[in-house]
Amino acid sequence: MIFLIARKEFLNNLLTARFIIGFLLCLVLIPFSILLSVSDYRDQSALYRQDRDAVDKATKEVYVYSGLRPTVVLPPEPLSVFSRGIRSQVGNRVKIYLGEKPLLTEGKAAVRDNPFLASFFSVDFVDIAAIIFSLLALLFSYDAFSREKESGTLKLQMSNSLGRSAVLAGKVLGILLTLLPILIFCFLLSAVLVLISGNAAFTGLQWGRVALLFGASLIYLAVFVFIGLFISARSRTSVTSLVVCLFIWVFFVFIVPNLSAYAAESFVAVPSRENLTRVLADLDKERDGVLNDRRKALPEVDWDIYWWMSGRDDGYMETYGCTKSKFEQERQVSMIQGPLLIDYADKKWAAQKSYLDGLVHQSRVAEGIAMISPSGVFRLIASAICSTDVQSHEGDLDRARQYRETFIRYFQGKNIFASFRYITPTPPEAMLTGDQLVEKRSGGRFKTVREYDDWAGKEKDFRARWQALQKVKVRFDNPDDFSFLDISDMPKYSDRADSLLTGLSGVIPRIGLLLIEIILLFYLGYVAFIRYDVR
Amino acid sequence: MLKTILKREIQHNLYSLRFILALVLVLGVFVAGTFSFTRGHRGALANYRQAETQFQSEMRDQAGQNATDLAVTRRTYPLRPRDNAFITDGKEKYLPNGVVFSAWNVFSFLNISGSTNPFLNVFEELNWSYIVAMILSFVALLFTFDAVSGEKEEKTLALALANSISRGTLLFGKYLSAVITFAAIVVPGIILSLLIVLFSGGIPLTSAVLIEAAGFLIVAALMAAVLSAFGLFCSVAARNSSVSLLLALTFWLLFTVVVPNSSAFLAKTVYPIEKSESVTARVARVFDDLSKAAPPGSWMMNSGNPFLPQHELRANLQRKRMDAEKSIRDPYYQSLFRQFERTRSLTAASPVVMFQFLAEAAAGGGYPRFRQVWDDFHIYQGQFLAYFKATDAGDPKSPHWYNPNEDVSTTRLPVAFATVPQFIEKPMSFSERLQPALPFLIAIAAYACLVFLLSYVLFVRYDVR
Repeated sequence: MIFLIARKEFLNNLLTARFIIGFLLCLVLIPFSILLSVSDYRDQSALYRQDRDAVDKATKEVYVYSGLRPTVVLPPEPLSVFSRGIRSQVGNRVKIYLGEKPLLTEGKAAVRDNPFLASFFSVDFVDIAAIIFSLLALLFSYDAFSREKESGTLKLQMSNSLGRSAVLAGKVLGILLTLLPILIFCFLLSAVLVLISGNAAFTGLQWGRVALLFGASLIYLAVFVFIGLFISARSRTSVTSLVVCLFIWVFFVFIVPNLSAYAAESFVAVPSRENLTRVLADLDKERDGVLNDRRKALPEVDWDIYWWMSGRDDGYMETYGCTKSKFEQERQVSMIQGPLLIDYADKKWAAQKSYLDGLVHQSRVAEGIAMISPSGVFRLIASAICSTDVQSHEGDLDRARQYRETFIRYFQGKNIFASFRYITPTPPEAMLTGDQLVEKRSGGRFKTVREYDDWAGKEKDFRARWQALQKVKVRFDNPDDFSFLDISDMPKYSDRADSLLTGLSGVIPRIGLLLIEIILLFYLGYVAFIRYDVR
Repeated sequence: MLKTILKREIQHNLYSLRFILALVLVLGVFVAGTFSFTRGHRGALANYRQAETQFQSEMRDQAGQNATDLAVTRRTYPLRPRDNAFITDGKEKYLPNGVVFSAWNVFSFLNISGSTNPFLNVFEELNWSYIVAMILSFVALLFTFDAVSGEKEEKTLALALANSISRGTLLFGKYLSAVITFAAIVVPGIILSLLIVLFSGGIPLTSAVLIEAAGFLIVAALMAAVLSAFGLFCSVAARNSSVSLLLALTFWLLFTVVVPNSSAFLAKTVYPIEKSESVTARVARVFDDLSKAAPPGSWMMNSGNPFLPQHELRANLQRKRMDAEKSIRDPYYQSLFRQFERTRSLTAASPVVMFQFLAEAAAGGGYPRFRQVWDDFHIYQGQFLAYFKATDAGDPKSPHWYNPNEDVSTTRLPVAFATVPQFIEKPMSFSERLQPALPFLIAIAAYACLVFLLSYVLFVRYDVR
């Protein structure tokens, strides 16, 4: 009997204008959203390739280990075509430093050359699905009872030996049966569009995730069907029911998502970034102070000049053509500085972590408020399924932090801070004393450093001072005499190894919430329908 | 006769369930949005004050030490969060809110980071503009979608037209009553919101704000007029009310979801611009060429003596570099502005988007505000430079070789901070607000008339039985 009613409902709905218009809406809006997302994904992939090539080149073209600081470039997520999540707001690069753990990603966030375009928002498949599926579910269920009551067929039906629960179950089934083809159509359409666009190459695993998304959409759809049925059973006319349904729709789908983020941003303060920057700068200053103190205790050198030098923060020091004792001094500095950088990175992390926790807390509060609405829950589930939520981004950052540890272990394993190779590719046996260098460079004009210094002290023209030392070129006194560092043994960053259910632990309670809502609404709808005056 | 129809329609609207629901929802969102605003604004202002104090004190310190340092240092001027952003924020959070300048140039603009949480999804603030654009546009359609088709179903339409009343009058009465009902929802919301702002303290409710609110109300009414006209159109275009509802919802989704959200895509495909990397590469190339062409010694710098001849070469080179970069960057910025403005005009096909632009104009915020600041900054930079040159001219110890990047060959005397020109953002004047908004204002009015006319034509041919 239930199936008979379901069949009748299905056929009834199939012929209505709303089915056709609903279908047409999907036919327009779904390709629209996929088009936007695929175009974004294409730009992201191009940016990724460009960044990755640049990073590869920069990492390969170093002469000394102190200049070796790999950069992790995160590949774009193909599933972001369905749900963009926070991926469009965060950068795609993490630079690995010894002196600081990675806090957030860097790089162009959204692929937009024009910063003004950041004020243009964009929708993705899940946004559109959240709008359309809920609307269709309500449109098919708002008049489930009132329409039949108005046309007088409800009484007729109930005069048969038919339980009200059977009628209710039949109606639910009928409506779901009507909506199912639309849902399937939407997913097939988007899958075809993704396939023919050819930009996002999905693996079997990712298609599995799309299937999960389909399941979540079905549950989401069902919630709204039950909302519609409940309201229908509680209202006397279909116009009343419709108006109530539409207001609920606007509230859930359009107001709550914005309200949740706005309220979270206004009422839950995040720690200030400037403050963090200040704390980190203070720690840097402290660290540099420690280094300078210990540097002073190092032995004097015989000729304190850098022939060729390039240095930067995070311990980068590359130098050529110095005296043996100068090289030795720099090596000793690195031996102090390297471990010091790593130590202070751990000290900095406490402040970084509390800043990061503040950001995550604010987004958690926003998520919590958004859960008032089934659309909010659905969006959260979808972004988790598509690995574009905060949690999976945090996972990426965690992996980058672990990679930094691996990288440090690689350095420590080679005892690299104690090696000359950290600061210069000059082989130790080729290093000369100050007197030897002066004699060689001046073509024998000066025998010792002292001799040269005495002369240079009297010479007014600084160019002449310099030229006197350029008579003969000494081997190994600039990078061109060397080839790049061999870093084939450097550990590589390994990307997330996904299985079908990775990162979905947070989804289960949310799916549970939607299911509880369904059960509750079904119960309420049932009670309301039992008490319904069918005349 | 119109009066009778109006009275009947308005009463009918006011007593309807949708009016109560709309009122409750709208008032609720007004309250929640304004509370969030007052709270969030306090935090934003505190951040701004910190940045502003730092900006001022850095300038003061440098003025007390060395005028050249003061002139050549690049600093970022932070834009103040608008007090009247509860009317509309104009998405200023996502727009550039800092201008990088020195006495020599206005270099660039940026969005001062740290103001938004990257882990929070982008969202619309629940300000007046958003409430009207999203909820009230929906309500306007909801009040009109069954104005004709609903009455036809109730069989009262034929009855009404059996009286000596023209179809035009009836339709216009319905139209006007929808707009009035709309006002009956918006006005209490606005008053409530203003009261919350007033009692929360911190934000002064000046007469300017009240005038802006009035301006906002006018443009909101215009939007309501367009949307109501669309509702009526749907009502007469379909035979029964459920089809007109679907038609109305389709229009609504088109105006509020499809058109605004396609703007980034449209900008990219219809008005492509040069990539920022390529601009940076061009600048680097020109710098390279200039360095190569410069007389030898231009890069030399090894003395505290400002009169060394190489400093003049260096100053010339640096000036050339700056001018060359400016001649590349400024047209590039213009192309960014153009792309953004053209895309905005394109999305103005949606009356709801058009309304949001008009609300921005009413509140004096959003993109037009930034553009004004950007233009004013160029005037200010001229004053600052003139001031610096005058100071330099008065110093006999300076060789007056202007170097826009370094403190080497111009005056090193301190100056009194009070005499240094300061940039003060002026609120946009009435004409400055009206001028960019005027085309939209005319277009939205024309839109309303056109759609109403169209529905009138359809209604004349409508079978009322």
